[in-house]
Amino acid sequence: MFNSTINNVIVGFYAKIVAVNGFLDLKASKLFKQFIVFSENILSEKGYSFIKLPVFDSFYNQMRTTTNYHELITIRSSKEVFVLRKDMTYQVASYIASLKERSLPIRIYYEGEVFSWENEIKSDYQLGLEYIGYKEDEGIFEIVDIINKLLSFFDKDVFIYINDEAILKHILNTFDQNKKERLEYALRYKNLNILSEYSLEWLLLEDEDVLFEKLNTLNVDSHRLERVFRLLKEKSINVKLDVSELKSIPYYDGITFSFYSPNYPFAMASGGEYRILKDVYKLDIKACGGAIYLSSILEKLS
Amino acid sequence: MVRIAIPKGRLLEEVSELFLKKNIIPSKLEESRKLIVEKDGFKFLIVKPSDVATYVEQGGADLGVVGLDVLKEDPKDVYELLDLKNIGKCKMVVAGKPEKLEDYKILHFTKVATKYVNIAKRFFEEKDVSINIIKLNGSVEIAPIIGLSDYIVDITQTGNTLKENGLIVMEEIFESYAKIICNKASFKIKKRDIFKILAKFTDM
Repeated sequence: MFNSTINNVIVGFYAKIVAVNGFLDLKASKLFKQFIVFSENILSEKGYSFIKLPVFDSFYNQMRTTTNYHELITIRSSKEVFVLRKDMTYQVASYIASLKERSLPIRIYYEGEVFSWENEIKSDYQLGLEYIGYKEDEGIFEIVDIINKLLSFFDKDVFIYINDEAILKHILNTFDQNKKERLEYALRYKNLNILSEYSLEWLLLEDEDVLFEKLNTLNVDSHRLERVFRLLKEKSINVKLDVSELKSIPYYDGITFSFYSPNYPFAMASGGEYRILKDVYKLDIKACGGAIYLSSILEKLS
Repeated sequence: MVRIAIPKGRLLEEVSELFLKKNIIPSKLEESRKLIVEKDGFKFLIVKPSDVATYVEQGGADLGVVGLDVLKEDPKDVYELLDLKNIGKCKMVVAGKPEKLEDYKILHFTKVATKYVNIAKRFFEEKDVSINIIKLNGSVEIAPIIGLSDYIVDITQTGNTLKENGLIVMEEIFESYAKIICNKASFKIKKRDIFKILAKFTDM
């Protein structure tokens, strides 16, 4: 794929990144190895197959994963522009689309670093899983259940916060472009000043009865979110609502989720439903995926 | 217990007065050698202004009060819950000697001294001006006077320091004010306690 000079530069560059953030040490840790064995057992039992994804991707594939191209770390050869992947789901989608024969559903998992740029290079080692080609609500329940089990390796006090990205997109689309952008900003930063201007500050609440009642007054279809929320509760999963959560990754279009614990000051995992196979590859297949943020978790535990 | 990071220096006085006025604390916070103060069910961490957002992002504090100038210079992955537009009011400006005003209007390349390297870079990049940045940590007004730089990028509250050093504002970059920021996990896990504080500022 690369000529040797470019390859050397890339390998050197890559080695520098992982050495800088110290993840090589974390990866060598006993806890990391134990978790990988733990996760492999659970995932293979559930019928998930491991795939190895390249650390580089095409610029055009990765630009779909962000609204801010400046986040992408690009490497130019004389003919092409490559990107250190920021997201692995599009790589999975390319792989699925490239298969000559597809026997649905497909369950796959993968692991590796993702990279982004914000005044400095940031990398995160993730374990991801995707369930592609399922019926009804199966995907969201299965992915949430597995991630919940996997996170129990690190913490027993995990909460999952869910939302329906379609609801927020519906609300956003009722405004003109300028107001929409301002509201998007307010949602991403949970900014009360701006949300109050739109009389939408209640989106930040978590009381399900209040939220579903308010959503009904907006004529928003929240039945699916309500159904998934109730069913997850019935499955004894610690589930809460966060209907203000707008994911920074643009491809989600259904139920999204994030896992938190009082013992970790960041999301331990997140994901959701998407239709990128339909958008890009004209394959109308439902998919749901999620990723566990291993380097953050292991760093906290170290 | 909700942990709140408050910046030392000029913002401490203003924030302390605001929190007192909103009945969040019973008495004012004073700057002293004690850097962790427990008051009325809150734990206040008195830290350097540029470190507030780091404490919040990393989970050392649940909430923090930080200037927009600091956040723009070094963005962090935090929620920006409330804009306190009357606290920490100042302007981020490009300033220089009056005789440099005409040159400023037709700039292609220039030397800028500043503490705010990223803000300056982004601002001039958008104007298609190439710049050589000289990073200074304080008293940047000296740089154009002694010829170290053509201009400075800095915050100004009243404009008095600029005036006293014979400098004028060439252009305003943005207005800065304080924001209440929040750790993303704390916002979910400690939502009730955090909302009790936010309710003092809004009708929630």
